[in-house]
Amino acid sequence: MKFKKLLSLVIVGVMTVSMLSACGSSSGNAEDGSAASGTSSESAADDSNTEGTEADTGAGEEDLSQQEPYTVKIMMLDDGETDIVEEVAAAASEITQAKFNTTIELVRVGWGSWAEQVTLALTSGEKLDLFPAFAINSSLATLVSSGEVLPMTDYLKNGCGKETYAMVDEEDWICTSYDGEIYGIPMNKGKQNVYGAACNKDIADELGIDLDAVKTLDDFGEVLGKVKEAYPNMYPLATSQALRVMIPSDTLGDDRTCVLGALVDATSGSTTVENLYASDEYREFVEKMYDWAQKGYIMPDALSNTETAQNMIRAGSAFADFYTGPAPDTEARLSRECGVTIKDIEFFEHYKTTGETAPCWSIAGNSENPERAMQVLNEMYTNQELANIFIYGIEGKTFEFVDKANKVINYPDGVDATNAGYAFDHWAWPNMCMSYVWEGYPVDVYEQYVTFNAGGVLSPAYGFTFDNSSVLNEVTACSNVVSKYAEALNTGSVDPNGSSGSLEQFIQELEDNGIDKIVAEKQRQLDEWLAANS
Amino acid sequence: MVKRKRGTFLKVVKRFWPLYLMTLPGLVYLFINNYMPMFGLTLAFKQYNARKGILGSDFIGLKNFEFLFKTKDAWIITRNTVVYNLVFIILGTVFAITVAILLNEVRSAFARKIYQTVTLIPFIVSIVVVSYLANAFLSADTGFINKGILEPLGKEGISWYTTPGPWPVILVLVNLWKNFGYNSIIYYATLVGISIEYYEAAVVDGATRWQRIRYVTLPGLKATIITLTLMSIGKIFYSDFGLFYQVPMNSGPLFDVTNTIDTYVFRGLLQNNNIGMSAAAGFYQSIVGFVLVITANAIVKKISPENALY
Repeated sequence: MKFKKLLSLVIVGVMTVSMLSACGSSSGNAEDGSAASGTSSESAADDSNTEGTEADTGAGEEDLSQQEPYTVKIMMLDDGETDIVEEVAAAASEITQAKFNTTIELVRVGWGSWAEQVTLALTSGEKLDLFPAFAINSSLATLVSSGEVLPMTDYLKNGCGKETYAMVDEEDWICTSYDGEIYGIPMNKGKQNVYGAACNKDIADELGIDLDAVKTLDDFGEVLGKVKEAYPNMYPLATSQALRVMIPSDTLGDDRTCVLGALVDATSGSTTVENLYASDEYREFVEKMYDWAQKGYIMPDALSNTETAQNMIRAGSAFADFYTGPAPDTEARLSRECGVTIKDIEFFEHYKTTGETAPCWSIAGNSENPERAMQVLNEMYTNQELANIFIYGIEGKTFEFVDKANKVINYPDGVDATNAGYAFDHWAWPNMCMSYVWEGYPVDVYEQYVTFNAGGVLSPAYGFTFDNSSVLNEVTACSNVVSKYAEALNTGSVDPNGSSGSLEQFIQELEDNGIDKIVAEKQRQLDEWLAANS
Repeated sequence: MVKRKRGTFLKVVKRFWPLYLMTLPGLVYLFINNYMPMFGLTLAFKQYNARKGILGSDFIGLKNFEFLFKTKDAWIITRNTVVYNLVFIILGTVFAITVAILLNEVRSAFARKIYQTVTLIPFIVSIVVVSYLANAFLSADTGFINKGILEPLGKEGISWYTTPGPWPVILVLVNLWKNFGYNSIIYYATLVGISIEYYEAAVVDGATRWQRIRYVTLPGLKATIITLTLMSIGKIFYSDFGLFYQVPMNSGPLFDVTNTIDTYVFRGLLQNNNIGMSAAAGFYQSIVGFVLVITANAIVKKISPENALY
């Protein structure tokens, strides 16, 4: 009897404790929620006049501000300090409250833990509505097959996403589609594959080198030679991350650091999938890199170097860096980051692949109300005021206008990238072209983007997404082989024809681990896709 | 028989109920933290789909485990994991005990405190920092070994991060350096507990200092050694990810000697993010560890029953 009594006592105790803790968290939320809605209802009252004109653009449809209250949780890449992020969310909520009766919850996650945090949120069932499906180590195909993103075709074609649907290029939608359903809105960013190098123009000028004349890797090698001669202590080619493979290939959805089956020359129109690492182009490239490393163009410790290229160029310990970043504003951005004048050179024609277009904003599988999420996403894409609150934060705090007429902005006095507390990655938000122009960038930069994105060769596999689920074992094994050899070969750290870590061994091990099976599967899916889409 | 046992159990509970009450929060915590998540183990046998949830996902049998054995590297990663861990256990124990005994022989309490703190510091240092400390020695361009030792001697510098040969030694040294302080403190704590009377008796019998260590100290440590070793054996299929991934700076040419089960799984799944497969790898590691602990414990029980864990 006594034991039973004791048991019930203990159970009561445990339950009280757990209830208390549950109350703690929920009351906390309620407080946040009421505080947020409090400020926003006040401001909604203030704003109703000013908002009125703004809201006209989307008017003519049913009034969405009378919907049930809902909170849209957005997860976004790159750092932000908690108090500033909360302020941004509150400012954004003002707009969405007035229009949709929706509150915004914003979470920003630094690059270092982004992939982990998003994957955790997607797989754990935690509340999440919107996120950029980008840099999270799994392709859209994987996200779709595991139910981590929701289809949005209906909203885009007939619902609250119509405006966005009209604004995105028709051909780009196939890159975020899977089995006839659209799963994401492609970020409106640079969509070209550009293979080139960013060079320190000051040094080039000083040595009388004409960078405009550099058209090929060999020309570039000569330039590096001249720099090395003038500055013997410098390793002219920075190797911050894995040195990029300068071959204009379509990786068919793979990350450039680990390509298991690719169209080796995407600009040629060929649709034969090959093992990139067994191609002549790759052999030629790694032999060149080894040669450069022997001549001292690349640092001997490239494999273990963790200094960024920007820092190395700034410090004068490097002259140039390979890059695959597409954009009309790369020179302006890199010049700012490196503290010297940067001049771009390009080695190949621009071309478009699924990989550059597919980064998109998606509705998470856990979203409780995808339609409400879509309303906000559409607003983020089309409403300049909202887009800029998200992208740049709070006026006067994280940015201020330098030239209001042209919408040119810069940091306020005493604020810079290190203490702004809110990182700007305008390209990673849904619609970069809605954002203000940073001082120093061309005022018409977004028009330049439109021209830039319109040009270029279309890879024959443009729109194709590979589903690797039937060859997962091979992919896992081959990924390991690639990380074993590729970086060492790409940085010229080992001799491709030498005895240890040679290219022959690399190819042999890939074949032993079933790369042929992956290539064949890719080819099969691609052929099927081509047949269905021609 | 069973009934009587139950009866006594209830009687015991009745008698010591305050003690049971005190263990309750711990048991509840253990249940919530260590037992409830075990349902997640079913993920190893499923094709995980976030929308269907853990229980609703499709059952696919042992398919998630295939990737661990299908690769040609299966032998290398298993060998690396087990052999490194064996070396760590053996050398680590010997080294830690030696340091503990030395600490015990230090007379000045002040000096002993200093030594204790100093040996513990490497254990607190983050492995990422350790990897840069190692880099300061090993960097081909600016490293101490190349610039400070080899080149002044007229020898050519070695590109350490592309030469696999010395890495087994480097990794063992780094691991010893990092962990000996912590383990030696555990042994030292046991040493302090050995009654001083044994030593006095030994001195009276004319035992030398060495004999005192051999016949009093070591037998006194036996139980602790067995417990700690058994616990490390349970983890023999796990590797210290930081040590094998950060310290060699993830350098490809070293993989033959630095790739372990954990780093292999990490690198392989970085590309396809498959939760089922990573769950399978973890499941496999724990099952093997579990079997090894049971076996080792059974052996200990045979040899000296009073020292077995259970």
